[in-house]
Amino acid sequence: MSNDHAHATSNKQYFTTWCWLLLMTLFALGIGYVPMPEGLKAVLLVCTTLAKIVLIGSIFMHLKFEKMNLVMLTFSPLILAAIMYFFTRGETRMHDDSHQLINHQGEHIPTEAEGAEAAEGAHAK
Amino acid sequence: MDASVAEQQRILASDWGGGKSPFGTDWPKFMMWIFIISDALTFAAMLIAYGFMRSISPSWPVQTHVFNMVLITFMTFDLISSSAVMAMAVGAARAGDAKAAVKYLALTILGGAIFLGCQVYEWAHFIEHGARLYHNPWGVPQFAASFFVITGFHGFHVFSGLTILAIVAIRAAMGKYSATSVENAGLYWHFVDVVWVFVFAFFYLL
Repeated sequence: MSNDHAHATSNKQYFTTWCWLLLMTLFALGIGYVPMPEGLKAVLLVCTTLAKIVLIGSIFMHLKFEKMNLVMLTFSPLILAAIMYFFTRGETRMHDDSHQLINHQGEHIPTEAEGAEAAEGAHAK
Repeated sequence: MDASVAEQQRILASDWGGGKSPFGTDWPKFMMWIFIISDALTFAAMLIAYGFMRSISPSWPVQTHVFNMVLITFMTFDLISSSAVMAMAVGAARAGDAKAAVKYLALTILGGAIFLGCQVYEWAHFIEHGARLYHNPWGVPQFAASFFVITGFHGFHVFSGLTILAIVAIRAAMGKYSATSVENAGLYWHFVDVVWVFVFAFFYLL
């Protein structure tokens, strides 16, 4: 009986976590579709992803019950990933306006600035 | 002299004084964590390399135009659900409820198999549209290459996880299991879920 009770309690917590994860997945999907600056989109997606990782790690993987020594060890890949990112960032074209997006047919998708320019041109004509 | 003895006693009484695990776990679980961390480094390197390739490329296809996002979202939902059920299997195994553990393990395996089936469908669809490892219709070779390598490597992890879970489930059904073995299989499965969360955000949405 006590075992059943323990299952019910923990399963309820797993269910709540599952609901939060689904909500955050839908939120992330929304971020992917809503037009917004790439930088803001990246920050929002990183924050949502980290929140999901914290939930999965602490509740599903039981890290909240583990010793801090082990918890700190699990952060090492994130720290190394951040180092690799900042190490390579200088060589990227993140601020290069000539970077183009193309659709599934290989056609160029105009950026917001190009879209505004085209609209102005059409208006002037 | 007294101070050095006191310092020595303080160190011996700490987590790092010897005679006990500084991480508070048994060896099988600790080794699983070490494996997960090393594997996470591999995936981190892959995703950073992907980001670098993408940002140095003069053009890049918009993923939401190329992929079937309904299918990808369903795959994410499926993997998160199987991860939640796996956590319940660990809880049941810890409580000594073998019957419930086997039931939840079977549901987790079902979720993983559905995910793998969806991935096979997605690959087949992508290949059908002309995508290959070194070239594709979008004219950006790194795009299809990174798709095949990252999702393929993750898919291989899902397949390995399913094999491990099947072995643990069969042993549990035969009564030959320990809560630690279910927990370690669970840690691996949650890790597969964690990796997909990153792939979903950085490969499909960003």
